[in-house]
Order: sequence, then C-alpha cells, then structure tokens
Amino acid sequence: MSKLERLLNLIAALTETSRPITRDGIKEKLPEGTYSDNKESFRRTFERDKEELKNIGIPVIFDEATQGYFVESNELKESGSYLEPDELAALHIAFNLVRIESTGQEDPFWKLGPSSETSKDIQPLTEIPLDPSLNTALTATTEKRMVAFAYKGEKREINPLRVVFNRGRWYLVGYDLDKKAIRNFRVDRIEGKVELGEINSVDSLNQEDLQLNVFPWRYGEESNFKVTMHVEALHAPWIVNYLGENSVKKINTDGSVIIEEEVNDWKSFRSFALTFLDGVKILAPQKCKEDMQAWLRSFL
Amino acid sequence: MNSLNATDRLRRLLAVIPWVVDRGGASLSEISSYFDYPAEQLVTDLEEVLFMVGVHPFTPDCLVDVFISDGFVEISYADWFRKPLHLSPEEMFRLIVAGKSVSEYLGTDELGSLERGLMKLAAASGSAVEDVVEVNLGIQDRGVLEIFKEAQRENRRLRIKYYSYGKNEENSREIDIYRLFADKGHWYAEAYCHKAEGLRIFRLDRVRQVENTDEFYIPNDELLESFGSIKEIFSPKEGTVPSVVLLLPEEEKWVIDEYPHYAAVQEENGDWKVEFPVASPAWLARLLLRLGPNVQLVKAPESLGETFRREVAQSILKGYEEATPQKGQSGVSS
Repeated sequence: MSKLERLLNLIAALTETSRPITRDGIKEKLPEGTYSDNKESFRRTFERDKEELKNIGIPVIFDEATQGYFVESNELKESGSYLEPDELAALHIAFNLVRIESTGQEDPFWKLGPSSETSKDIQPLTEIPLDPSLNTALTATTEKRMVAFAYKGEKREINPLRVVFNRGRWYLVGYDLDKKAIRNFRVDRIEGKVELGEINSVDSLNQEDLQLNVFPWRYGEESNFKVTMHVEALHAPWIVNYLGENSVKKINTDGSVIIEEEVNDWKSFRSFALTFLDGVKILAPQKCKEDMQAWLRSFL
Repeated sequence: MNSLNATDRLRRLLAVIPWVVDRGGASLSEISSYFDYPAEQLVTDLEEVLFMVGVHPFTPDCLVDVFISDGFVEISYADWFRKPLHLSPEEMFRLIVAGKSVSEYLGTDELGSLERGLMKLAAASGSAVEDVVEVNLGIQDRGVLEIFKEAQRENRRLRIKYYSYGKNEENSREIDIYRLFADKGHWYAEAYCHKAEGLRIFRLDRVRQVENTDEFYIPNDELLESFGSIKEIFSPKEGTVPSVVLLLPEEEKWVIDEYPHYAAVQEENGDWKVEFPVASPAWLARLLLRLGPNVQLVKAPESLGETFRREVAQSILKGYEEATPQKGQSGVSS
C-alpha cells in the first residue's frame, strides 16, 4: 500500500470515530498490511505518520484516559465563525499584494477557500524575505521558549519577546540573559542554528522597551554620548522628520539646523553623517569632529 | 511543479476533496490549475489511490466514490475528509504578515474586513502569532502616502518638490503615479515624470511638497505592462549605467546585502570583489566615503575613480576648515 493511501485511510479511521481509538484499534480498522505486524516497527511508522498529519494541519491528539487517539476539531468552522466572503476576499487581496518569499509551503488559501474577487496578476505592494532562522525564532516567541544562538561570534541566550519586520529586515527582540537588557538581533545575522530551550514565563515588560531601535548608531555596548552637528537647509526637513523634532537644538535663519543626537556607536553615526556629503558638519564633541576630519584626510 | 512526493499529494488531496464535494464537482483542468496539481498525477491519485480509500470493513459502501467523465470529477462519500485543516504556524505567519503589511497601506476606514478576518484566524489558531509579530514597511509619512494613493485612484497629476538623492539637489516636477510600493523600509512611487519624460522612482520621504493639479492622465498600457518585480526596479540592467568594481574586506560585506550588484566573488584571502552599477556619482561618493580608504577601487571609469574619491573627501573637508556655520548667524531657538 502506498504511503498516500495509508495516510488517507488513517485520517478516515480517526475522523470516523467519535471516541479516541487506541493504536491497536487503529491497526485493526485499517486494511491488512497497512502497518507492520512487528510492534516496534508499527509504532515507529505510526509516530511518523502522526507527525506528518500534524505538519499538514491535522493534529492527532493522544488521550491519556483512554490511551486513544483522536483528531482535534477545527474550532474555526465548528464555532460558526467561519470567514465571511468579504473577510476572505480581503485576506486574499492582502496575500496577493505582499510577495512573501516562498519556502515551499503551499498557498494557505487551499485550506481557507478560494475567492473569486482577486487575481494573482496584481502588482505587489512589497516583497518580504524570509530567513531559515525565522521559523524557530517565531516558534520560540509564540510559545515563550528560551532560545540560544551565536551572534557576532558570541553565544547569546535570549528570552524572545517579539519578531519585527523593519527596514526590509527581520529582527528578534528579546531579553538578553547575559547583558540583562532588551536587545535586537537581525535574524539574517544569526550564525548557525537557533536552539529552542525551556519555556520561560515573561515578566511584564515596559512596552516602550520593546520598541525596535531604528537607528543603527544607538546599538552597541559602549556608553552613549551626544553628538552635535550642523545640517544645511537642503537636508534639514528630511533629517528633522527622521530623527524627530526633539533632536533639533536650533533653527537658523537660512533654514539650516543644529541637531543633537544620542550615539553609542560613533563609526555607525559617522557613516550616517557622510551620506549627506558636505551637507552635514560635526560640531561636537571635539574628538568626533577630529575623527571625522582625520577620516576624510585619509582619502587624500 | 514536476514531481510531487506523498506529502505534497496528501496536502493537495485534502484540500481538493472538500472543494470538489462542495461545488458538486469540478473539471480536472480547474483543479489542476488551482491546486498546482499536475493533471496526470491528479488523475492517477483520484483513480488509483482515493478510489481505494475508506473505512472498515472497506466494502464498496465504505469507500470514497470518485467518478471522472469527460474531464469532470465528482466525489462523494468522503465525509471523513470534510474537517477543515488547521493552518500551520508558518501559514498563519504568512497570512498575518501579509495582513499587517497591507494594514499599513490601507486607511483605517478601509481596514474592517481584513482586520476581522485576521482576528478570526488568530483566535481560531490559538496561536500568539498575531500578538508577537510586527511589520513596519516604511518610514511613516502618512500625509504624502495618502495624497499619492488618492492621486493614483483618481489618475490625477501631482506637482511635487523633490529632493533628488542622486543629484543632491531639490527640484520641482509634475508626475503621474503608476504604482506605490514599499522596499527596505521606505515607500516609493513609480511615476511618469513630465520633466524627465519617462518613468522615475520617487521615495516618499524625499517629497518636500506636494499639491494636486487640475489635470488628469490616462494610464499608458505599455508602461503598465513594463513593470517588473520590485527587486528589478533597483537593479539597472548591465550596460545601461556605468559600473565600478570594489574590493571589500569581509567586515564590509553588508554592502553586498544592501545594494544591487552584478557580481560578487570571494577572493582567497576572504575579500569580496564586487561590481556595482552606479546610477549616480553622488551615490558612489557616499558609499566610498562611508567604506573608508582601505576599500580598493579595482575598476572604474576615469570620472569615478581615485581622483573622484579624493575630490569628494576634499570638498567635505573644506567645510571643516571654514568658519563654524553656527557662529555669526542669527538663530531662532526651536
């Protein structure tokens, strides 16, 4: 008997019964020869089949009391709150507007139902990459389990709190046990495998702490300091919008501005300042101003 | 998809069966195209596998009934396969990410159906995906995005004041918007620019001023058909713009992730030799200055070589040698 036929018959046997059914009971209910008569080999094949069914969306649950198995019902449909046509259509549109990198998984709408109102030729609104580590990071976050991984050559142990897509990248935001603080990790920079650990109850954390830091110069373990810079009028509107009104120390009559920004990683901030070419000039602290000049002189 | 393994076929069959039963039958070609199921494999699975499936004692009245005639499939006695499938965590994740992405684009008044759909899915899955995933597509500039969306909907021409990053200057132009999209943290409009007389890309956070005009445009079909994927937009075709070859140390590998390139080869010593298209000299100037003097310019047109790099550094340095700009100017405190 083919594997496909065996799995289909297994589903039929498990859904036909209204009560949990033992492993031996299942064997008896299937055509002869479906499973091996050797107990151990039967157990192994059955466990693999169960895992396979779970992966495709049919969770087979074990009931301690009866030592039997049953298929968990899908509350979505049975509670009568199935998706209305407009909701299904909206989800279809969203799914077609956003191109999420394929990972070999099929279209979830096979399970939810097709909608006649959408076309796959729709122009995408954005394309979202996925990463091999993302799934584990997500599992850990939803199940509140600890994770361990290598990052920038260091072993990190994290209590994951959120998975965030920002500036075209996926980040894992979590409490770093070693640093005793919230840290952000770029998922594509995680080195090697993410190891799933124990379940860890999360203490209530200040939501503000979980906001992803968008400025790369505020990362890093060095203590922060304030950098003051002059921004010419051409760039002033953009930079004020980007860093926020609070960063503005002075608005000059020619439209240029003096900006003050908190910096942990000076090299990263220098890089940012250089994207404005001669439109930005570092004023203070003196060591940063001198470093910028030395950096520029090194090209001469 | 050429060959499907047993799991791929099971996934498909479990979706196909209730779908066909609910519709009272479906054509083979329809099933094959909707479920990405090769026709030949589909027929074999229906006729030779599903036909044999059922429950104890497997007498004809206990088997699924599959009937295929003139390319039309009917399935009955298949109630065991009517239970809806659970979405896997990954499928839920993909739907939530898509839904949250689109939520950022839509106005709050347009969100109703999508939000309700997402909430039902999240509630039914019992998973916390909805709570722990956050999607930010672009730097929020709601005002500009709203005006652009409205203009695209009405086919209304816009007049904008725009900071051109490539030219490092501000200018005014009239544009007809063809599409809006987000990439790497920014919203963009692909629009016909009447000044440049062609399609151009505008980053919304660089739009300094925007106003509606009283003119309307009829979208040009040829332009609409010419759109490629978002990735292609930022990767000029080889030969259309100048290019440079840089030798990057391993620690500057981020540049390869960040910018479009034609080729990237790792040398024996670990350095990366990368060829980048240069859409504008100002872009290259910024990149070279950020990377530092240790990055070697292996190949570059004369106008974009060592002299160019030196002169750009020199011009910025000159600013530091002049009087500090904040002195001698009357300022208004913020």
